[in-house]
Amino acid sequence: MLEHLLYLTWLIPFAPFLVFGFIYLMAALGWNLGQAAGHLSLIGVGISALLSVVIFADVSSGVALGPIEVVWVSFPSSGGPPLQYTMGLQFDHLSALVGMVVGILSFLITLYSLGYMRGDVGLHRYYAHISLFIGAMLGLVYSNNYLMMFIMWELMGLCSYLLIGHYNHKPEAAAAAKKAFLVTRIGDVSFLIGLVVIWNTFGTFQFSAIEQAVGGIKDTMLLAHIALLLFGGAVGKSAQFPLHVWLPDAMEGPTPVSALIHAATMVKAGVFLVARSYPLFVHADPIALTTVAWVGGFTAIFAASMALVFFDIKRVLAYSTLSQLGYMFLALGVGGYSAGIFHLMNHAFFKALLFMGAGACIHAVHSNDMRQMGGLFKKMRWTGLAMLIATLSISGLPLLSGWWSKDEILTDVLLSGVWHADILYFFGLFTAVLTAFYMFRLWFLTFWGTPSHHAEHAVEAPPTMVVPVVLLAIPAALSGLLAVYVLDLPDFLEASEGMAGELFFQLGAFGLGSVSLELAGQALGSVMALLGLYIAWVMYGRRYGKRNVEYLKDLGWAGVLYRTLWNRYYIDQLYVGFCTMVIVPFVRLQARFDQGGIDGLVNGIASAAFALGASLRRLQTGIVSHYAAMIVLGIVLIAVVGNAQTLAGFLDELARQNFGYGG
Amino acid sequence: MSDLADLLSQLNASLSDHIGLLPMLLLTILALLLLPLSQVRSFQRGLGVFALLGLGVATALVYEMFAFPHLGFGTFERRLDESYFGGAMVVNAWSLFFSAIFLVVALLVCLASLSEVKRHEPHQGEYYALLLLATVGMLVVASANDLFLLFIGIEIASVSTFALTAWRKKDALSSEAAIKFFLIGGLSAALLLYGISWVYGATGSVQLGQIAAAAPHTTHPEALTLGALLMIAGFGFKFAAVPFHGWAPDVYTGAPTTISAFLAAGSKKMAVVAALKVFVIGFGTVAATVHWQLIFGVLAILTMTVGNVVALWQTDIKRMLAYSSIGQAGYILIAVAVATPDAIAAGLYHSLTHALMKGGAFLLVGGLAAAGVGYKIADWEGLGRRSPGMALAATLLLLGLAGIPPTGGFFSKFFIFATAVAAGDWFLWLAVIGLLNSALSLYYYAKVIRAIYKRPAKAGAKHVHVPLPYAAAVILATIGVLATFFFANLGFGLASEAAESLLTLTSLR
Repeated sequence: MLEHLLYLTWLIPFAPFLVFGFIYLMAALGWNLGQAAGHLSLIGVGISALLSVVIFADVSSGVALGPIEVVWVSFPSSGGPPLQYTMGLQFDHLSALVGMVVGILSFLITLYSLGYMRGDVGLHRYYAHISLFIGAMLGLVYSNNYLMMFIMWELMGLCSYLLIGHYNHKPEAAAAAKKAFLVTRIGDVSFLIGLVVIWNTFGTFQFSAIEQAVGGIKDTMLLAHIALLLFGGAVGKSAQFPLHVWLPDAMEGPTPVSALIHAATMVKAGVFLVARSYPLFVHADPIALTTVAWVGGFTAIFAASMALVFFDIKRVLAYSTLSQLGYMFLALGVGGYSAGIFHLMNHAFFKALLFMGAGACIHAVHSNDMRQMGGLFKKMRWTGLAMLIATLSISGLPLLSGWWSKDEILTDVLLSGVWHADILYFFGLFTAVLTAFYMFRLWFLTFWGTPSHHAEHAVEAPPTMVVPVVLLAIPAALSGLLAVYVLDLPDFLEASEGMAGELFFQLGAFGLGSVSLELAGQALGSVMALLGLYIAWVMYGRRYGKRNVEYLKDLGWAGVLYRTLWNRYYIDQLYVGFCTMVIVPFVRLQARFDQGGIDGLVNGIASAAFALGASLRRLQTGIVSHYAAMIVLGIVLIAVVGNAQTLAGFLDELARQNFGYGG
Repeated sequence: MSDLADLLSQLNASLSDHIGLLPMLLLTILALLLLPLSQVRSFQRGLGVFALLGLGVATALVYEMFAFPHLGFGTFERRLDESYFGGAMVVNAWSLFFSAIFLVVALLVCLASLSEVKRHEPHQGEYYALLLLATVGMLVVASANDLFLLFIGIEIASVSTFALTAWRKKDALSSEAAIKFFLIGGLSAALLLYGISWVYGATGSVQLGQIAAAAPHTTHPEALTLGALLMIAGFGFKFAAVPFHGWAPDVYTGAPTTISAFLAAGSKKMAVVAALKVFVIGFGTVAATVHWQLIFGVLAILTMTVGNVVALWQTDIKRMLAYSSIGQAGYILIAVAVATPDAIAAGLYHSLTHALMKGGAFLLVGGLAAAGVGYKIADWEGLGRRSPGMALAATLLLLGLAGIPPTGGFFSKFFIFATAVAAGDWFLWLAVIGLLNSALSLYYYAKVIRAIYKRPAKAGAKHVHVPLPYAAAVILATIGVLATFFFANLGFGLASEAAESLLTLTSLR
């Protein structure tokens, strides 16, 4: 539908950007739009979402939507073609699929915000930043070059910072915002260095050009360096170990923000970056993909273990997000390109639902603590039911969406020839048990049993909140089935990229693939999910409130384990310790050098400039004859400059004649 | 009857022969009409609107010629890249680019004048008529291809602006500024004319293409050199290049603020046109003997450094902007010195962005003054709260002047330095000194931004209401400054086209 109106696609990022600009402009003119800002955002995001769906329909029906590009700036370079930076959008299968998921979720979560955020004092701020974020995320997904991607990436980082700190009267929120910004910055620097190396290697930022050129580069270690630098950015943005510490704290932001940015979209940008750069990873030395797989696999089990013990509903979901993102990287790392993107899509749906449902519960009992919930199922049937579906789905119960993608990931791990795929497979399998356990722990604690006294007067949330939650239950349950049987997702993705097949071949060559093993693996995955569910039922469902993981606290070695988990493996403390013991003294030292050395130099130059200014200022006497005299002096000056050569020759001649030496 | 029809068809033929000159013609007729109209008592308020409309039509004409060079226009036939008066005037991409700059500045200034010129003030007709005539002079310079015509254009613009500076003749500061401007202007005009006569003597022609052809074979190279020096001094006055700049700070401070904007943003660019044209075309063939590139390079260094260093000390915003304007002229002089096609395009682009930024900044000062805010930097404290919109515009305009994204000033300055570096040789040093100057200039621009967002000194300071015409002009300029960033490629492309078309003038005899 769009092939003749391709320029309209610029609206995808720009419709929300314009809303952002408009809200800020109005605020600058002293006009606080309040709730109206929300309606404006909804319109802007609606336009983008609609276009993203149309693009998906077009692309999946085989219409080629060529990339659209504008040269943003081109300038002459010394001896070579002009340097050009283009901004452009590209619509291939990857961007069409992810863009549609982002578009739909953005729209639903903005709708949800209308209910959740009602009555907040900073509404115009909130909606302006949400719009800017959505524009940037969609811009990132559809961009056709690394530079634009990086700009959007940084914009999202800014929005994430602003939105985590939205409740700026809360010191924890301000601290969490700062932490998120600083920690992701580490990854951003890596990404930026990667960009520089890319420019030096390829001379372009265009994905298509890089994809074509990458095969001709024989230095696989160079490619591995590029790939790992990009992956460094992904580790920061997608909160993988060891940069995972910011995401749980980011839950201080408003719940729709957690749902949109810190579960469904922005944290997926890292996965998307790796998927986008897949040609680089594939052609690079295997160390690159192995690193991706191991970081992902480790984060999956590591984060899932921490999700076992917390009572803050959003924190449990945050650790779950970390763990699931780990699954996606694991998939990409073992060559399961389509499995990774498949899980990205499924996870976006059910995790957004879970966050929005959690938000509805928080809205109802005014607390994040699951111990103050309980028995909510009777009060909030719609929310409870939707959350149950999502919980089943993320746990990987057969035929629900999580099952499809998780199984595909586990199979890909099993078949791959990555270094110690057996350990990674075990990580994946064990994570599946943990996932089912902590998710049902969450559901039972929240919805099952008898209500705590906080929860007694809980009522279902307003329709603007419930409707998106219930609507999302459909894809949360069925996206896997639809993707496999309607879209034929693996083919869909691999056909577009034209490299995944090649990759499977490469890795499969030293893999240990066999069909029976694959079937056994699938069965095993489902059994693991059921096992986790059963333990949760025994501990939290059947005898609600009687048994809890925190009983472990007093049980010898189990108590040590429990405290380790509760303290998040002491990693945050480790970082703080490192900062205070190493970084701060180092910075102090630098500050001393800076204040003494650099500042002294700068101040010296500055005062020299000021002194020069003070004397030149005296030329401005205000007396016309002085100005005229200056003009005459100026003519003499330029006469000297213009005839410097002649003068030099003349003086030379003079010297030779009088003193007998010279030129 | 047939006589009349004859006359009309002759007129039509004559007009269609001179279609490229239509904007100048239109504005001249309008200026002459404004004088009798101003005697109609009830039409006082309409004068400004009338002038504004005229400028709007002229701008539209220029746009039309630039954007659709191949389209016929009404009953007239398109005449682009066409020379008039035997080659004395040429309308092409180059002249249209500058015409567009001049007209946009004139439009903004005229718009702001609607509130600067108060209802009861005398001589309103003269004000607008002179503004239009000054614009006509600038348009003549933009398309002149002949030293005499160049001189005439410069003088039309200069004399009009002398009078405009003195327009509030009861205001002592304004009159003092005008008389300084006039005296120094007179001296410079004499120098310029004297230079032209030497060049004529050496080459036997005043037409640029012919000068270029004759210059290498002249029997009096020293006459040519002398002519060049005197002309540089004459242009240096218009440019406010150090050491020919003495008048500029006094005049920019004393003149009505709209006129300061007009001088700094518009009429200064006239010297860019003239210098580039005369030296790249006329003296292009004798660059090796006249050393005009070296002279412009030295002037660029002096102009940048003096402008920026002295600006550090200013506490009056108008005066600070005046020195900043001198500093910015220094950057453009780099492009004149380098004089490769890319560098010329960069200089052109900086002329455009500077016109928007400096015009916007001066008009903002005027608008705030009209709203009761003083000219001292200290008076702007707390503006961020008292007028958030204008504070944002001020921030963007000042960032633009400092050359920081997201403003066109970033790219235009970057292009100038990049092309200087690309040209290699000693031009590299111009870029280095330019960069150091840029760093220095940030201090005084940032000082103002800091004041704007400081808490107001007096608690409960009132909200500032900038009059609508002023606010509109400032907002338009600010949008322009942003647009020249986001659509830099488009703008730079147009500038390149203009620079290319300048170089084709060589072939015109």
